[in-house]
Amino acid sequence: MINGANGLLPILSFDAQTVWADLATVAAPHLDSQGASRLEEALGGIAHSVAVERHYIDRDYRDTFSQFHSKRFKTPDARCIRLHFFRKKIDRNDLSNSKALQQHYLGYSVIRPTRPNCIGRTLISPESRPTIKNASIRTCQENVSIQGTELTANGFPFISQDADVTVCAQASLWMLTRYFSDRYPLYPEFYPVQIGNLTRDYSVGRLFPSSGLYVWQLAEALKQIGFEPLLYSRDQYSQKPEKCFHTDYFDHLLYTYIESGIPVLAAFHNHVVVLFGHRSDYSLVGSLVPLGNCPFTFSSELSTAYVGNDDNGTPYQLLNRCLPKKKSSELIPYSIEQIEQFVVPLPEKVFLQAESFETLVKAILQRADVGYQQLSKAIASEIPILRLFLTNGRSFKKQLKERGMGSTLVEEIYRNLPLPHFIWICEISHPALYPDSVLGEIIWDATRNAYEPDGWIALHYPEVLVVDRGSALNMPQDLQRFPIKNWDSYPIYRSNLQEVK
Amino acid sequence: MTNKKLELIPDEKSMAQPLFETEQAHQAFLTTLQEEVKAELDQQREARRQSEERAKQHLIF
Repeated sequence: MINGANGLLPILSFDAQTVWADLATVAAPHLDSQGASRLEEALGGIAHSVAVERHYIDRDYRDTFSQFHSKRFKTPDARCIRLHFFRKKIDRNDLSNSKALQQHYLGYSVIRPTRPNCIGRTLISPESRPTIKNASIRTCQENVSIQGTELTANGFPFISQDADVTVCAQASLWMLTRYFSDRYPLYPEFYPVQIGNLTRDYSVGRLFPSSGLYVWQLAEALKQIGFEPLLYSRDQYSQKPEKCFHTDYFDHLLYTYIESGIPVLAAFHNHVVVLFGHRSDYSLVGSLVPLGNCPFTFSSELSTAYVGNDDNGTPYQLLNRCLPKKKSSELIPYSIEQIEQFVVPLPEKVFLQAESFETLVKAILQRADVGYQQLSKAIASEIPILRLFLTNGRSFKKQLKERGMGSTLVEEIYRNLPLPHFIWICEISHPALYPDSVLGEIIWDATRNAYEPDGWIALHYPEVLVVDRGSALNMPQDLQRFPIKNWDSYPIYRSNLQEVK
Repeated sequence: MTNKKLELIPDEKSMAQPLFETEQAHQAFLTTLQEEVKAELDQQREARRQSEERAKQHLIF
């Protein structure tokens, strides 16, 4: 059924007579059949109503129109259409009740008058995608107004390349930077042409129409925005498992940054996507076996796929370990093994990288003086499983009360302990407890140099807490040992990623 | 109030004890830890440089 087909906000509800192809008719000429098919792949069976907001002025497309399309002899429309998706059938009266409407709102997609790709700025709920249920992902929020009715959209930004100003490199940069500007006031919003111009001083030849970017230019663009990007190349991190203790060391580092809640740009042979979550199979935890002479295992070994946005696909696709046997809208058409490089947009105050933190942690845990074999019978009773991630001190402290930290003494000391903005954490658990609970953790100052061995903030085993009183009070290292009498396991730290319901 | 007198928790001194009994033992700990990790950290620094070089050749379009 189509309500108000000739109005400025037609509402289309799917039924026996009205199908997704009809959406292309209602949203013509902006939405073509290919665009309607992509939307159906992303939302078919989930969205039952679509509100078509005509004559929508989209800030991203308007930027592209002003800077590029307006200079052509034949110009496309300067306005867009915005589609709002709802998980139940709605009628026009529902539009005035934002509280009731919010429960059914799945998000929006801007439709540009561009060819070959018309899907513009899009933010739809990850819950619209059953294939990523139970995955852990990073999202952001936007406020949306439909004729004055205020709603909130939650998800990870998506856009398709327009093949003029943006190809996949700029589209991926846009998705990444829009996530950061939506989530953190620190980062300004960048429009597609501005994204392209970020590499103006680091390019040979013209910028528009774009012929692509080198991976180092992706990193350079992120640097211009205020990040301190790190580059990882698979050929530099492909040590044998028995030497590096990981089945795939490169993948382990990628997982560690994603587990830290930092979306990354993953580059294949000539394509790039944004990865912002992972799906793990926790039923495998009991069968994990340490590699080489390593006495512990890592949570990254349980990860089976990443969740990402590929501008050639649809939002929230899975990147699996194996190459998809056939094309599917649910899968990125590559495998994890085919990632050749990735770029991590680290915040300014993270000087210690993941692999260096891991090196320090492995050394500490295996030492004869402060290792767990020496100080913790509880941990030594089984093969420990480690989870490494970056977080900020504020979020860590926010969860202390709820988590309990296994002991009131530890909770109280952590609460009083001055912390740097960013901290690296290595949680220590047992297969029987993971992924629900942990037994302890090592906290390391992420603003320290890897060659400074006194960068630790705390070492917490069930029976003992070692705290560096010195760094907490901006003095030389002063390691104090607190015995813990009554201890228990406590909930894992969950703040970096949200589980998809 | 000097930093030395600040307490992380009330009555801290009765609950905590230094991890190392002497400053000499503490320094020995730091030195050996530094030696243990140095080779691996050096290797990581080189891997970073090589990754950056590789990124100059890797075109995305």
